[in-house]
Amino acid sequence: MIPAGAWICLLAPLAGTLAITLCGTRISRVTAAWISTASVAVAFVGAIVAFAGLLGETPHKRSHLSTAWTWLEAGTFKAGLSVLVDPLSVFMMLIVSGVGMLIVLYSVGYMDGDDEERRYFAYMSFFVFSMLLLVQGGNLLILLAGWGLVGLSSYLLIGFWHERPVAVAAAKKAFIMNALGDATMALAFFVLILHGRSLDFGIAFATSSHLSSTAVNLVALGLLGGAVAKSAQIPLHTWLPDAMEGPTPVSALIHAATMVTAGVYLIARTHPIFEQARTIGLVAAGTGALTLLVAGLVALVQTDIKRVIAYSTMSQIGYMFLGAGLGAYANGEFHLMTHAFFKALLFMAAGLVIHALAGEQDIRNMQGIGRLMPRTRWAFLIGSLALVGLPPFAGFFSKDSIIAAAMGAHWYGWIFWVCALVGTFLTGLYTFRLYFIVFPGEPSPFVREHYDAHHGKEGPWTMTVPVGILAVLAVIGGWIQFAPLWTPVTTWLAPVARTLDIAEPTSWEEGISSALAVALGLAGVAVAWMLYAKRERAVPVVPTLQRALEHKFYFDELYDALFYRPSAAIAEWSRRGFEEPVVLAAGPELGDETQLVGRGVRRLQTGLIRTYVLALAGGLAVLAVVFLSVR
Amino acid sequence: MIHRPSVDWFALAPALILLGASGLALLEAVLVPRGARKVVAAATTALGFLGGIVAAIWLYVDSVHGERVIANALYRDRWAALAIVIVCCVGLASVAVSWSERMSERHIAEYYALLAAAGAGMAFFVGAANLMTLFLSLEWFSLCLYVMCAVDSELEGSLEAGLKYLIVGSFGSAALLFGSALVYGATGKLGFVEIAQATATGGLSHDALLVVGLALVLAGLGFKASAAPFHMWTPDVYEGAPTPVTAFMSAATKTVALVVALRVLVTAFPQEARLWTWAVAGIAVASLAIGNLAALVQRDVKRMLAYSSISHAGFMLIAVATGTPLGGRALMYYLIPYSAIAFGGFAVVAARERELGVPVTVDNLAGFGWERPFLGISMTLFMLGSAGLPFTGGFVGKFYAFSAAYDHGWIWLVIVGVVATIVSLYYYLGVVRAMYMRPAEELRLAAVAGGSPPREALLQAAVGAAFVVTFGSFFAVQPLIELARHAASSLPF
Repeated sequence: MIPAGAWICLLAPLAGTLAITLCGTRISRVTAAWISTASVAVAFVGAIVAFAGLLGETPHKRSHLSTAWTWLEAGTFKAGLSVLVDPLSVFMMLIVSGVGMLIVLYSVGYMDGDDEERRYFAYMSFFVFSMLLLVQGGNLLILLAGWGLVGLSSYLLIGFWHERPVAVAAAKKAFIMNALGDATMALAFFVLILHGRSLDFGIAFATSSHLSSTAVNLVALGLLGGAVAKSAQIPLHTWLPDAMEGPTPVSALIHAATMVTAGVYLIARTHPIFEQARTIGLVAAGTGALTLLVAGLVALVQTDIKRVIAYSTMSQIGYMFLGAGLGAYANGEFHLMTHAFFKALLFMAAGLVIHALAGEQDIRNMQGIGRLMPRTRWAFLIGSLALVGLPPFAGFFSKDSIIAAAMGAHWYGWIFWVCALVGTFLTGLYTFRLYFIVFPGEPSPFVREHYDAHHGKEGPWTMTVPVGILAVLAVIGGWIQFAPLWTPVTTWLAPVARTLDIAEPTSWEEGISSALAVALGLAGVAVAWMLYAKRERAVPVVPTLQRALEHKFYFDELYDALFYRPSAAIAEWSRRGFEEPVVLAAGPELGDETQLVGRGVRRLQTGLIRTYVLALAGGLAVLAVVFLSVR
Repeated sequence: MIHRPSVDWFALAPALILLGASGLALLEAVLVPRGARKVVAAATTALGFLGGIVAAIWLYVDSVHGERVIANALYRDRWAALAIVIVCCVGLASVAVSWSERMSERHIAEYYALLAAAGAGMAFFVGAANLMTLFLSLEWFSLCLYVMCAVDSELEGSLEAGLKYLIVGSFGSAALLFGSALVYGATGKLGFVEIAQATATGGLSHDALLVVGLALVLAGLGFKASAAPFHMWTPDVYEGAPTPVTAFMSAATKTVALVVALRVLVTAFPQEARLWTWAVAGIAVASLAIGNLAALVQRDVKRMLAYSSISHAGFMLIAVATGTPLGGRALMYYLIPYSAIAFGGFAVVAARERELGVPVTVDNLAGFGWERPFLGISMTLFMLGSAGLPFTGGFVGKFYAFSAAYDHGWIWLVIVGVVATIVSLYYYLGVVRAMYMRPAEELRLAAVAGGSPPREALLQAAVGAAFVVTFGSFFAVQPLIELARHAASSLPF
């Protein structure tokens, strides 16, 4: 029952992809869209079945490894297609397929009329399949395969509008940045496989305790590299804002709800290694803390509606990294879930606006759209409140526990704690800056000119219904846990990834963190209100800082100078110094020489029987003589 | 009075069933009216091969512990049974591909009778347990093949192929026979096991007669496996023989020759392992070098595939040369995708040949992939499989052969194999390029010349089966390796 649900969950989206691909133009675009939606919906049903099955079992038995077939087997080394169903993977399966289903449904309306809808929906199903493979993977190999496929499908979706050079460049950037992480992660896996002689998670983690501390640290660092790249954390974060060139539902699916949270999943899945390499765990937490600040600051000056949300995503994932790095895995995962709800909601509400304004994304042109789209305005407001983390919205319950978890962790915990609190202030500021600029007030001339209502409504039902559902989830989704009084999520995940004692906040720590976080969030909102809604004061301008923020702290420029230019120079040099004189000259010559030898061999083939018999006899004689002489 | 041995009829079943089918087909050549003769004879032979498959599978299941039966003249074990399964599957596919071959209708029933008889001889050959049965069964299937090569007696090429094979083959058989005689002279024994015992007890491992005998036996078997330098007949015979016969020979003959070679070497000559492992490694290197280099410059696809089969013999001899259980497993596994790849390649060539009515060259393959999508894709897969790229069994086969060599400490042999693979990519991908990537005007020329005769369902089915095996053996590695492991456990490594 449980494995069946998991397999259905995994294979349904793949079947959808194959069906759309193989049918080609024989099915209409709308059919393709619905096939994709249905396939992800089936996956969700499968995930629910697996979840229900696990619920019925005692907590320590909730782990099922199901192997479809073993490809290669040698001793303990077994390479095969196997899925692992345990509380952690089911938790992720529900989020990926559930939120994924809503987003694919939203795409039906959003992508309506695009020239290559079928391709889009084939990719969407394929992405969901890859992501499910990643979270369900029952051994290191499958996890790695899912990890790679997720990178591939994200590349395909970011570059979906392949006629736009920016989109193609963004896709390439995302792929290359991710490949860097893939490489470090694969190296870490190889070390584990080499020492454990097995692909099994359990054996691999047990192996890590026999490794030297340097080796464990390197393995953990490799894993962290993969997580950082996939989750767009500093220093491998620059691809995420650019990835906003893809269609908006793609941003919602990949760059908010699912793929970018894979890093958090990876840390939770491989937590035994991070627990042995505590330093690297703290590096992960520190990365998260740094990212949440940097991203929050950069978000303050962005003018593209999707980029603001993208930076906010980076910042929120920073919180998750902070939690997971400190050992509060359940809190990280919980925030991952609520974030999936409200961030997908924000992206999709923004998508409604963009859709209604014929593709416009600059917030300075959107002023006053709220009057024309009241429901979207409400949805966006709910998403914003959840993002800032005000009670009773979802973000409040998940984010505050992470902030509180930082308090227990020695002296550096206090640094993280302060960072996280400053982050809440920034969140309130940039979120409501966006909200106040876009929605309230009189519609601007641009909006009046370009606003195009969909049959008098704010969007087709396929778009508004998912937004509605997510709006509800963004309100109530957090109520399933209210630490420390009511902790079902932590209990659920405990058999796989038990929260470390050090990251378990006391009640008063929870209380004080919550109070401060809410107060600082409100302060941020208030400042935003003063600056952007009431416009009582001019926005303070510090030219140097402003420029630094607009250039996103010069990360792109730095990478350009540090990596791109030297590599390009080396490549240019090796073209002139090596390829042209050596390869291009010697390559064909080598081929010609080989062919010449081949012609020589062919000449031996005279077609005459006497030659053949001679060769036979000659070979025989050589054999006999050699045997006689060395016997 | 001669003592009559007890006969294990079940062990003989595959050979007997095929022999029965052969006899029946021969009777049909005179008793069945001409119109129905082809159908009846083909059906009889197909049933014979099917029966052979069933009996061999049964034998495999039922012979967990290998033993010698019928006065210790024949092995009844899994090593032989699995080889018989491969041979019979190839035989069945050959019947399908032969169906539409433009052969003279006069002797069509005899052709099928010979095919079944060759299968029977091979089934006997792989079980051979002493030098007598070895030579007897070798001649048995060789004689059938000589005639089958020349069956198209109106074609000069076919006659020439048959004649060349006969004369050079006689020489090879003579080498084997003479070698057997020397070994018998040295040890006084015929049975493989007894030869090894006599060598060990009599301290004969340095005996001149014995080592020269070994060299001759090696040459005789190497001839059948078309390993260099005993390979010279291969391109001419493969090119001249009717393509279905070539397909059968390339897959089945090579299978049985290699399977028997490993059995003879590890059973009868374990004392001389030092000699023959190096000798076989040398033969493997020669085969890889000559097969691949000569294939580079071929334009005729059948000749190219013939050289490719020589190079495959080299890869499989790498596994044989190690003389270890892993080598045995590697050989048996490799043979499964190899048979499918070699057979499938020639079957596709047969299809093109019938379409054009002229020998298939790299040039007139142009556009084939677009005209016949299924055959084109299949041929592409066979070529990739020959080159040993992933998603084909060829990849895993090479992987196992190389790991056997690595395990044996012969890294140099692995390097030779890898270099050979690199060279081979050129001509394998050349075929793919010819089928798909020619300039438009060349493609159109070929299409006009080709026309579109009706599709042959039977040939397509055979190609489809080869496709499934080539592709499937990559994914079903574990079960196939298990089969091979059980089979190899019958040999006394």
